[in-house]
Amino acid sequence: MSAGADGYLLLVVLAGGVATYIWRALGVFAAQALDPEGNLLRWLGCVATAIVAALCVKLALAPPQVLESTHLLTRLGALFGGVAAFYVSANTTIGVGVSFALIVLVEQFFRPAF
Amino acid sequence: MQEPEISTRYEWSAFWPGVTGIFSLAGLVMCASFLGFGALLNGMGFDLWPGLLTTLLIWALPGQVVLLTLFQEGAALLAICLAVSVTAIRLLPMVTVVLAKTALPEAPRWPSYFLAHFIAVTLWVLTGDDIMAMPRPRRLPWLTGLACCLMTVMLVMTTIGYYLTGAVPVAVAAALAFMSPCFFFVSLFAAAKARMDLLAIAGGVALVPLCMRLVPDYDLVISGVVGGTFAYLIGRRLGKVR
Repeated sequence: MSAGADGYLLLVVLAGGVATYIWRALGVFAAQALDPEGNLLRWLGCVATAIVAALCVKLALAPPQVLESTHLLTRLGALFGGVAAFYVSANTTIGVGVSFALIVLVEQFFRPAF
Repeated sequence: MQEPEISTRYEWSAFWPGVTGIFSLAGLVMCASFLGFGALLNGMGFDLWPGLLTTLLIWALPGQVVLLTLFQEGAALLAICLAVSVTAIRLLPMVTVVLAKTALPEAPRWPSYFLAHFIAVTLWVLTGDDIMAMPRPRRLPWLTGLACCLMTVMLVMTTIGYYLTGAVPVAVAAALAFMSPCFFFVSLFAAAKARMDLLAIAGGVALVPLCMRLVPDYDLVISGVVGGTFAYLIGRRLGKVR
């Protein structure tokens, strides 16, 4: 890329950093203003939980480039299979390990067989 | 020593022990994500430095990917900033929840503003039982040590991923890329202490397919706020204990 394009990209990244930090700074303000045991914070906790759950499912439904070759059912199976394994084993590592194994096994061996 | 009075000083001796937190499932999963990000960067035809700089200054992969994608499409500066900013709204509740559990109300503010830059899903997930078992003055320094270590290692992982593009089988690359959603999803269930938390997960899961169609730019924030609010209201009515 030319120097001008590099300079513009640098500007974009710096501006993107500011645009991101604004929300984190607002989060700091909110933390100072809210009662740590209070209902408002409990509600924010629920919102954060729901956002992360939504993010996970969104990545399964509309996958980024690397995941486009995988089947929708493989991705959903990995998410929920991991949770099932977690409930059986009571161990997060085993849950995530099962998710990983499911994707590799299904995509490498099972699907090519059909 | 353990006076019940409110502490006004952080114990920064907890900074270095925090560094060891990287030897965890969370650290491993994050490495996989950033290897993938490095590979993506190369695949998109970018130099390495914009990837490293977004990791340093944005520190939230969805925002980083949106920024680079839109830049490549030739979008205007303001449009890029708005899109990146929308992906960052979700960080607000995470920062608030983490700091409410770790920051000392009577201590100087700058450590909170510093740590906030590093708070995204991973640190939020990690602020669980282990952190809460520490004495309060040690919590924020411990997390700050971990956060600095994570960022250093992820800069290295971005670099390795950039130069390793295409070196692993597609299925393994896909499995690595999908590790973080799986880790976050399982962690949500592992951290769920009350019915309210499970309802919040269900709310996010149920609403996101709808929101992706109706409000594609704000799908996560809207499914989170609506789903989380429902969970909170219903959970309160049902009582806190499972």
